[in-house]
Amino acid sequence: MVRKIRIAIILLSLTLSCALTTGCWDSVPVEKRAIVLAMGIDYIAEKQEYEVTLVYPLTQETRARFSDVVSLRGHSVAEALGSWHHTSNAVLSLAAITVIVYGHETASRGVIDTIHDLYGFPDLRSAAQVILAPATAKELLSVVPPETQLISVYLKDVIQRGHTQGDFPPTILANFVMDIVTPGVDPLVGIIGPIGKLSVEEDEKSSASALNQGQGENSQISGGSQANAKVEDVQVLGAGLWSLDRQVGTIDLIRLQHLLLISGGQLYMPLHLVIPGDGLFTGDTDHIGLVIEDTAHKWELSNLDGLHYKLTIGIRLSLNSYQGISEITADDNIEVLEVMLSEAFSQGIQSTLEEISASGSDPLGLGQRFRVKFPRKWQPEQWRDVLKTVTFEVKAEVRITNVGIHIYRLKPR
Amino acid sequence: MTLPRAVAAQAGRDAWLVVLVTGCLMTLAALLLHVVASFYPDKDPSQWAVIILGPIIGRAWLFLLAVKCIFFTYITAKLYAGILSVRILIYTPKYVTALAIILLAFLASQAFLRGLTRYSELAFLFKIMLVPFLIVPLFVGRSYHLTPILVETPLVSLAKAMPPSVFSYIGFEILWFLYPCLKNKSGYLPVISLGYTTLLYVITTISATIFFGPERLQSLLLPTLSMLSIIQLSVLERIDSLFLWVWVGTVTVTAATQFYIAARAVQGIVPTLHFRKICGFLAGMLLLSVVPVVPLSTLYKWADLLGIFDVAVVIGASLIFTAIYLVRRTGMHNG
Repeated sequence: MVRKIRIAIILLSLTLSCALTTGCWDSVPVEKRAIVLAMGIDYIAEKQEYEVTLVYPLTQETRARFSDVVSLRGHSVAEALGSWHHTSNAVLSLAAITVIVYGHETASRGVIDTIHDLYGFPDLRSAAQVILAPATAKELLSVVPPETQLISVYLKDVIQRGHTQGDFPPTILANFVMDIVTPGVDPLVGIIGPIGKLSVEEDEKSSASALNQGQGENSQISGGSQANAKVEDVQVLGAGLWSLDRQVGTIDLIRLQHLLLISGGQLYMPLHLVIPGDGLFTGDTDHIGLVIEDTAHKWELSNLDGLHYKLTIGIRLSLNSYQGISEITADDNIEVLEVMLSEAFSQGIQSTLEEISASGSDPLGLGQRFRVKFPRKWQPEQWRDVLKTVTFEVKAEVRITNVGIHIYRLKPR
Repeated sequence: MTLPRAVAAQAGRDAWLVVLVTGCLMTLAALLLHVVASFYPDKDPSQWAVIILGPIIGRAWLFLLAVKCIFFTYITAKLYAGILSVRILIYTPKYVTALAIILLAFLASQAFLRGLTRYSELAFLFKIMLVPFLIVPLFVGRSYHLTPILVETPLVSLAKAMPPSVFSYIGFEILWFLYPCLKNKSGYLPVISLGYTTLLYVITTISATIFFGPERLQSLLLPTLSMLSIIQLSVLERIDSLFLWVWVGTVTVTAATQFYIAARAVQGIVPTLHFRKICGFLAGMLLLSVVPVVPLSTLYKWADLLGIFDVAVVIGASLIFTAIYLVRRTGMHNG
């Protein structure tokens, strides 16, 4: 028996030793790998070409700089990435990619072909975050962040901070693709842009002018953009609304926060709310800074006279900054303020839902809720038309747990 | 690795129910095998097949079993090599990995059944620590992908989804060969082993369905691996790579048991042949056969067919064995 066990252990050792052998063919030293951390995909309509921008750290001991940003062009993403070998002798690896950025033009055109091309790479990291750039992905990836950080790492930090607070959509590539192919739900992709470029129109103009300046087939920018040398930071601008694999609209940061409130999972999400002047707490229309601590939501839907969704959402929050005229620490005032905030949230969330459904996008999976409730009536091909006629009723119930750290009395009586 | 896709292609979001029902049926089939093995408690099929079916039909059946097992060993090695080549060893020729699996299966068979079972236990214990990762998607997926139950898919489609799920249970006739070595010959072994396997398959299918949804699931070649490549913990990611390497133990054990059955079946056909020489001959043949390139999609088609063939041959034979045995025993009592 001991002999048999010994044989078994030897065999197991042999089996597991396979894990240590990559063979002669697949052994590539790390300094000969180009480990891409961020990828940007832009479509250049004038030339009917894709431009793929890759950000990767340099690992050679003799490197003169820390990273490279390389742009490749081709009629498809696969063709562009295929031309990598013409520019470098390093092995391209997408196994550690953290961010995939779609330019505005690419997203509006449809991205399904680019996804097929990306999945042609067997080591592609499906947990990579998908984001949108307001203009071109290349412009965003060319930003040189403060303290010479790598833009990919910087973007990852910005996104993770958003995830932790719950005010940035956690759209990874795998979920992005799943939402595209699943009827009754659409992707929601966060927009991050260089600071100071808040308008899409502005960015489109600047990107067009950049393109008109003329670029080679494969242009290489080392260590960041020279054209955008003054742009040193990025910020979350909102989110892109999608219908299938195309971007059909955008929502601003406030609307995005209202939308994400419904999905829950917030942890100290800062939110600025505009509340109407009422003479008690505020003189005129004013802002109030809130920190969302927790949410609980309940959906009900009926299909009597058209499809109607009713959402009841409980919001637990703290007041962070208040620019008002009353003593809000008093119990009576807190109760009044809770009612006022409940009303403001109800209106804000309802108008957000109506705006999104009117665009034909379904990032909340309302279609899936309908399918689960009325499986016999579910017709995925007609859902887009139905979605535009959906009505909503939102009832928010706010509970204030902590009263502010800073109370400003800018307009004392 | 492929079970959720193969079943979801027909059964959609009710795939896990099909896997559960198939698992229950296979557990019943395993109990039937157990009963058949109990007719000759000190012998394995290479000995009692000829006694029950007679020298010609018995040898023909053993030949069928040997061919099936050899083909299954071949498919196991080729499939694993194929999967590895699209995930990790991209530039390494597939036959190199397949050769390694065949060689390990050959070596394991030389330890005979007792050594093989110890090897299997060790591989199982090593693998079990990765099973919790299959449960993680249950907490991060979308539960609406599983509902409503038994509404959207017609019963005919659910029935059609059962044959592809059978492949995951292929090779369970090893229970026949284990029976003579068992200390406790009650029916616990088939129920526990098949029950555990079914539970694992059901959890995997539910996880994959919740994680990807039935629509996306059907377009993924290896959904379980894709799932493991996406989920990440604070200190660990790309669990699929780890999983693939640990899976090599399971693959080798599967190939080795089938290889062992094939060699024993050949020995049953020609009892004078030496076991080690048969193993050497079969291993040589397999080593040559795994070199030509076969597309992964073709291998999957073969595997699906083999699953149906395996169940048909093993369960059909069990019923026939039982009937013949009972008729003979009744005849002996009457005589």
